[in-house]
Order: sequence, then C-alpha cells, then structure tokens
Amino acid sequence: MNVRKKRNVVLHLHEPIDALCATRSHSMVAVAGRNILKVFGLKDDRFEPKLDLRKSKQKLFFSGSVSWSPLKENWIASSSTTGTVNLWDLETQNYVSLSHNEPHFRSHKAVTTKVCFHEFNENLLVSGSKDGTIWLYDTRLAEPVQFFSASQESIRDIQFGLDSAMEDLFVVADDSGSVRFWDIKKGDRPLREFRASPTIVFSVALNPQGDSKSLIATGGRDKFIRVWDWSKVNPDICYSVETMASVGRVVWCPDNNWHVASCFNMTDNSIHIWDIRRPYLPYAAFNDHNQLCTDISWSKGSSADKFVSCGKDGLLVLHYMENAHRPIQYANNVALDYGSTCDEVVFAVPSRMGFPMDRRSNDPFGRKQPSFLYTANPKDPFIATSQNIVFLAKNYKLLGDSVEELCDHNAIIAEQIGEEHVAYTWRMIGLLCTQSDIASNRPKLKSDSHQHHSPSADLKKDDHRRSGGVGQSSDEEDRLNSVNNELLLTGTIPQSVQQSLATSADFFFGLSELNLDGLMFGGSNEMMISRSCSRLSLVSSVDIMKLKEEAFDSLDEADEDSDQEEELLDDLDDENQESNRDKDNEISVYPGAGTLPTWDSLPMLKTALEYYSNRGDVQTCASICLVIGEKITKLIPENQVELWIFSYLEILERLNLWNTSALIIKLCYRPRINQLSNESTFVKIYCKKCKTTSMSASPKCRKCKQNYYLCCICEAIVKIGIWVECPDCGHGGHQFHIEQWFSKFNHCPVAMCNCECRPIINKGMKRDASGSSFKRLLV
Amino acid sequence: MVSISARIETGHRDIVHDAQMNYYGTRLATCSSDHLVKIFEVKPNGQSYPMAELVGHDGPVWQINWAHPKYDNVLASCSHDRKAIVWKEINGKWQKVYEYNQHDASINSIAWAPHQFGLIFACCSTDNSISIIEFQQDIWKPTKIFNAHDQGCNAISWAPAKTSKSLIDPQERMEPKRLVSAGNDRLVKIWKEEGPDNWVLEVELEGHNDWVRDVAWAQSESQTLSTIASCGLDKRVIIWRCADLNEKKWTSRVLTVFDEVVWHVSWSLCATVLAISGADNKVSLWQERLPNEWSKISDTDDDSRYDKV
Repeated sequence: MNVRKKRNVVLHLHEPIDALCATRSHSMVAVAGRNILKVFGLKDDRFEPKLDLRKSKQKLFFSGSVSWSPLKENWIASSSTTGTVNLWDLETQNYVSLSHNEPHFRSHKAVTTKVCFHEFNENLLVSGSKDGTIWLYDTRLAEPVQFFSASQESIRDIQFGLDSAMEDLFVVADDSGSVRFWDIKKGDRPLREFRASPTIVFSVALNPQGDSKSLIATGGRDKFIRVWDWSKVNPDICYSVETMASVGRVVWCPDNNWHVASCFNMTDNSIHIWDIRRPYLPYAAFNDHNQLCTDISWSKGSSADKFVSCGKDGLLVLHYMENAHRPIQYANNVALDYGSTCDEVVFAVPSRMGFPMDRRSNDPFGRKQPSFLYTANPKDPFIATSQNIVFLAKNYKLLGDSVEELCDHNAIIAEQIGEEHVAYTWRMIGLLCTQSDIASNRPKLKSDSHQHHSPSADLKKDDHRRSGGVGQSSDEEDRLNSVNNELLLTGTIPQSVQQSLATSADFFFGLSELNLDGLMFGGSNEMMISRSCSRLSLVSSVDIMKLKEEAFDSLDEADEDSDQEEELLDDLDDENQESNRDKDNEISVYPGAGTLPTWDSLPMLKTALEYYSNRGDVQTCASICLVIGEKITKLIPENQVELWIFSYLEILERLNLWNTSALIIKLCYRPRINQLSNESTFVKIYCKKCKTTSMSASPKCRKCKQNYYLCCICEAIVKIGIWVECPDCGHGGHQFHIEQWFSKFNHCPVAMCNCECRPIINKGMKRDASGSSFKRLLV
Repeated sequence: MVSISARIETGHRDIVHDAQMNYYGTRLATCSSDHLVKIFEVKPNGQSYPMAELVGHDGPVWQINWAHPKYDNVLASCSHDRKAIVWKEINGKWQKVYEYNQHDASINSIAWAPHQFGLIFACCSTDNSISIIEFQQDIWKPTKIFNAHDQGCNAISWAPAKTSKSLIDPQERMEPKRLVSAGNDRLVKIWKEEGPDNWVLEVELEGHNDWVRDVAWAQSESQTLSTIASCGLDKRVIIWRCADLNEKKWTSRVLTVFDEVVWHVSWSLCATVLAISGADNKVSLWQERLPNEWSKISDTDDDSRYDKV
C-alpha cells in the first residue's frame, strides 16, 4: 500500500527565532525571538497562528529562553535582558493583565538566560542568569523564594526533574562546564556536581524514559554530546558522541532510549539525531534550516515521529522522521581497493560480518562497528602476479641480439615461471619475424646491450662509488634512483632533445653554446662519442674524469681497451652494410630463411598482440613491440603501441623497477616515450664561494658575481673546452694546465690549500677504481 | 581463490569506509566513521606500521584518494561534515593544505584526475552538485556543476587521460577531461569539459532502477574501448562500453544481479579485473575471459576464515 508521505511543514516568520516551547500535549507551540513572541497551534500539516503576544512595537527585551507551564496551558514564562522573568497569560494575551507589577521578578543583576517551570507544581519556576545566580519563584508570591549559586559562570541551561521521584530536583549547566543538581529546598549546596566538559556546556537533557532516567545528556562547545549516569556519586560517561560542531541544544527523543537530537550553535545548520551507541555516524539528519537551528521540541507519546524546530533564519519547521536524511545509506560498509599492483586487493569489512541473516535483524546502530582490514591476493591463473611481472621485467631481453635469439631467450624466461602460453607466443613471434621483414628496422645500440646484460654490475659499481664517496646510504630506493639517473644520463640523448637544445637558446653551456655536432650526441653515434673523446688524448697522469660523475661510463670502458673501439668501428660498418642491404631489398626476406613466404603471417602477430592487450597483459604487448622494433607500427597503430608501453612503464614504476623502466625509455623508438627521460632533468650550478645554487646558465654567480670557472693556474676564465677540478677542494682550471701541474706535483696548485689533490696511485690499481678522481665538466 | 595475506590493525573505532593503496603499494590510507584518516606503511612482507593520523574532519569520512606521486604525497578526503580536505606530507609531517567547504551537504565521493591533467580533484555531494577543483599557480580554483543529479550524487570517477589524433590535425591532442557520476536519480552521467571551467553533460546512461551507489571508469590507457562499471541499490552491476567517446554510443550489459545491494566497484590497474562488494559484506572478483563474458573468479566468502588469520 502506498502511504502518502507526510511532508515537513515550514513556516517563515521573517524574524530570527531564538527559542521555542510546546505544551505538554504538543498541541501548541510558542516561538520567541528578539522581535517576536507568537503562539501557534500545531496540526499535522500546518501551523495555525493563534496569538501574537507582541503588541505593536512594544519592546520584548527577550533574551533567549521561553518556557510553557506543563500544567497550566495558558502560562508562558520568558527570560528578559533586564534580568526579569516575564509571565504571560495567554487568555488575556498580556503579561500585564495577570497583575500589574507582580509577575515581573527582578532579581538577577544580569540578563536572564533560562527559565524553566516545575514539572509537577504549577506555581514554581526557576530562572538562571548570566551572573551565575539561580532563583526559584512562586508565581503566587512577589519575591523569589529560594536562591542558588555555586559559581560566577553564566547559566546556560536548566531542567527540572521529569519524574515524580525527582520532582524537586533541577539540573543546571553553566559556562565552566559543570553540571549541578539542586534540590529546590536546599539552596546552600548542590546535591551533585560534576564536570561535563572542559568548556561551556550549552545544554543538558534528562532522559524522559522511566528505565533510563538516570541518564543525562550534555552538549557543549567541545563538539561532544556526552551521556552520564548521574545516579552515581561520581557520574561517569556512559556514551559520548562526537559531533560536527559546537552543540547548542540536546534533546532526548521520547520514543527511543538511545536517540538524542541535537542542533549546533556554530557553523552547521542541520539537526542531527544520534544513536548514542554508535557515536560517529548520525542516525538521521535534517537540513531544512538555512541558518543555525536554535531550538528543538519533540512531540511525546503516540506522535513521537515528529518534532518542531526553529532557527535564526526565521523558519519554524515541523519535521517528520520519515523525511530524515539517513547518513547510513551513504555509508560504505566494505572498503575495497584493487591495489596498485596487479594482484593485491585491500578490503575492510565490519567486524561483525559473516552472518547476513542476523545482520538484517540487527540494528546497525546497536554498537560501534570497527572493521577488520585485510590485504589479499587473488590466486588465479589468469591474473598475473606482481612477482611474475617483476621476474619477467628483470629478465626479458629486449634488445641486442637478433630477434630470434631475443624471442628464444624470452621464451625460456617465461617458461621458467610457468607462463607456457607466453613462452609459446615468444617462440611463435621469433618464427614469424624470420619470415617477414617486420623486425628489420630495429634500433641497434650495441653499447647499450652491454649495459642491459649486466645491470647488477652497474649496481655494484654504483655502490662502490657511493660508499667511497659521501655516505653509506643503504636505502634501496635511493640507490635505485641514483642508478636510474645514471642510466638515463648515460644513454644517448635522443634526437628530439638535440633539437630542442639546439633551438632553445636559454640553455647555455659556459661561454659558448654547446656544440652538439662537435660533441656527437644523439642518434646512433654513441661510439662516436667514445672515439672523439678518446682522441682527446688525456694524459695518463690525470684520471679519466667523469662528467659530473654521470655520463661517459661507457667512455671509460671505451678508453680502457682500444680493442673494443675497433670492434665498435667494425660493428658500425657491419650495420651500415646491413641497413644498406635492407634498403636494397625492402620486401624480400633474409637469405636462408626459406624461399616461399606464401602466406602473410603478420595478421597472426596482430591477433596475438590484441589477445594479450584484451587480457590486460601490457607487459607482453610492450615487450613484443620493443623486440620487434619500429616496424610494428605498420601493423598496429602507433598510438596503441605507445599506450602499451606507457602502461607497462607505469606498472614498472609502481613496482619500483626503475632500472627496467629507464632502460625501456632509453631504448624505445617512439620519440614520445624517449622524451620521458628529459622530464624534470635539469642542471643546477653550485657556487663554491657563497654556497648558493642557481639554475641560470650564466657563468657568473648571481649572488657574489664570482666567475665559476677561473683557472687557478693562469687565472683566466675557462672559456671553451673542459674544466677540470678536484672533487675535494674544488680548485681546478684548464685541462692542459691541470695536467701539467699534476705531472709534477701531487698537491693543489692553489696556495694555502693543503689538499692532496692527486693521491698516489698504487701500481696495478685500476684507474677508475681510485677513490679520488678529478671531475671534469664541459664548459 | 583469494588468499588473505595480512590483517592490518587499523585502530579505527568504527566502520572503515574506504581504504586506498598509494601508487607504489607502499602506503595504505584508511578512513572511518570515527572522523579519522589514518596512514599506514605497508612492507613487502605484509607487515604494516601506523604512520600518521589525520585529524580535521568533524564527521564520518567517506572516501579518500591518493594523488599521483609526481605531486608528492598528497591525499584527499571527503566527509559527511561537508568538507573535502587535501592533505600533504611536508617534511615527514602530514598537514592540511586545503579545505573545500562549498557544499551544502555531505560530500560522498572524491577523486583525483589523471595526473596528465594536473593536480585536479572532483568531489560530489548529496546537495546534487559536483565540484572540480584545480590547483593552479598556488591557488585552488573550484568549478561547480550544479544540479548534476536530483536527490544527490553518490559517486564520481575520472576518465583516463587519452590522446587522440584527428585526420585534420595531425598534432596529438589530449582528449578533453571527462567525468562519470552516479546519483540517486538512477542515472549515470558523463560530463565533459568544453572550454575552461565549462562542464557539460555529454551522456545520460539509463539502466539502473534504483539509486546508483558507485561508478568506476576503468583506468586503462592501453585499451581503446572505454569501460565504466556501476552498481546500485537495485543489486545490479552494469558494465557500460563505448568504442568512441565522441559518438556517445554506449552499450550496457548487466554483469549479474546480486542477492544484496551492491555498494562498491573497483577496477584493477589494467582494468581486467573488477572487484565488487555489497551489503552482504562479500567481495567478489570478476574477469572478462572472453569478450563480454564476465565470470566470477573468486569470492571472499563470509565463513570463519577471517577469524583464523
């Protein structure tokens, strides 16, 4: 059956409302503000205007509290800024008519902040004031009958006992955070007193339910609603609810032992209903007010599904529980994240999970529900584990030998971890490539393949230097990073950078532009570098100096044995021949690879790649593309190839496989990927004198105007060529001068510098293994 | 099969609503009803150590999201208290660097844009709107899509950054930014940025017949197809597919109908495996073995296995 929803009733009064109170039967409600004091009849679907107690422009001096006598439906008490309590008679609609002066109680020396009627005696009411005093009045008497005071702090809230057993009790909250229980007959000291909050307590509420009447809720500036059992001498916190903002008012919901409604007097306009057993997640929320909500009053008895609230925005709202926003509907019970690597799932489930049947009947607000957090690995033959990816990434050979050899090698690698299918694919690709010219245009960087074969050797070398150098940073990531840098920098600078360097003039190397042609960067000319460098004929007394300890590791090697150089030259010739051959017969096949390539095998290759792509195995896709080389783009859109490689690079990065990732970036034939190695690569210049760093390309320090490159021997600026310096004392100069000097001396050429720049090298010791070597910089 | 490798003691006092691994899988961030965001360091052996506790939210924290590591260690969180907070680790200490409070109701979901676009996050709220906040020249600049979903917006997810090459313009260009959102109006909507700060509705996907709880755009750059998974109170998980985003032709396929409300969907890195969790507190993993054939590959059944760990 479709029951029509009861809609919230909203009435706009155009005046800020500070307080409201309802009759015990909830048939009428009085609202009060600085310029307003009205009474409305409460119907299910509307507010009926009954009385306007403010006559013309009469001043109300209203100060924030109004109370309806629970026994006499025509009496309302309101607080006033003058320190009085005004008692209104609704029948005559005037507080004056009850008696001319008598209902005006003027006892407080400051603003009255709270008035409250006795629940069982129609004549009694108490009022609290900013000066910390509380007075008990008998409406039949002109003078207050009892005085209570325990502190100088402003009174914030007062409530009379709701039960006949404690009818003469009332509870008071004040700015000091204390809550005190008083007996109306005992004005000398409170019955009970406890500290409910370190700061102001704005509101207290006694639980109206018979069986938990010893509970009292307090709400204050510290954003907590706390529930205390005050039957004990030293009340302790039973529950505490952490709310969003400073709590302005707390009210128990009459139909539920555990529910507390609250509104805030700062930052938040909503009304929340909390289940005190689940202290973080509101049970329900109402967002009908546009400004701060100031007061709440619940219906009692059978119609406990609604309440009235008022706010600074002048709205008087009748809320129905069925219109509540329930945050639990938005609460995700199970946290779930597919981890950054391929085979890890993180999930958190509520601790009481496991009994779905129970769960439905259980109140989700019955208690806190801490979660258990797990990490798990899906075990499935179709999901690549990160272990496997790491193994393959580290051991795949992507470059160097012929395609067939690479494919064979990779097939064996894949077999080692049981990836039979991938191994089979590699074998097949090896065969297909011999049948076609698809793999003929592969990048040929012989010197790179040397590094690729022994990444571990690189690591060791790097380690060695580090330990001999600055510190013993054993942090793995750090080390990997440095290796990464090195790999990046030792690589050939790709064509694109060369271009960008040449075109962008703001990058300045010393006094003249970097002569790229002369230095032979780029392309496949790495061996040219080594050759040209070796032709610099460095005198043996000076160690081969490293270019800012980065590049030219290959240079060292090349210089070491000139045999290799010859080999390289031969290789180069070979390659030229080979590429010439390729050009000559573009379509034909290699001699000896069979004479009848009658069917086109390339679609198979495409199918294989698509298969792995759909399976999400970008590792296989990217590796195949790299092995086959640039001509794969005739088969597969280059966009797609790039995407595979990009994705593979991302996986490698996530797995901290910096070596492999850097290698792929370096080897890749796609310029967009190659460019990655230039991202966030920059040179900073360090001034030895004033110890500042600068990104500017000027040869002079910006701060101290000192020229960076003054030869310490001839005292001229090192203009073009190579600047040589001692890494210990930093003194240096023209390469020629330094070489000359150190052929005679071991100490630093600068007077007063006691540095032993040239350590005595033991015979038989390898040059580049020496601890201290000269740094060389291109200037 | 799923084998539980570790159980992490979070110390959260109430339900953990979200847990996210960072890019490298070395840190785990969790958020809970108890207003806290916590960060744990996860060692390769599965052990974890608490690193930080981020205090700043005044309500249950619904979601968290790590930014790409190229922006350093940055984490965003959103909460029922209407705030979205960006946290950053500066000199080893986590600090609040930005607080976004221009929503009128609970912020239900938060997500960082693909790193290629810059440091941008989007969040969506029960107040029906979506905010996109971009960090530009040291300023966080918000843009808002009002009335994105009637009755509130539940989830948001970014499309992966892709490049496209048109025949006319040989220069490679970034595809415009796209977002997918899910809401209580039973719709999944795709939004596209046309010109600076101007987001327009591109497609409305109809298929759910109750609130849509979660939506996830597969973050796979390697696949040409665009894939979105969505789930909702109607107990369904729907996979949406599109070959060309500009043609706006989406096909839908109901993965399966579950016995319980489905809360959450999450794609694996290569978008091949979909993890689904529901109100029955089960997590199941699904994989597309054949085109458009999804099969359940594992299930964390609710037996006593968890207790043994």
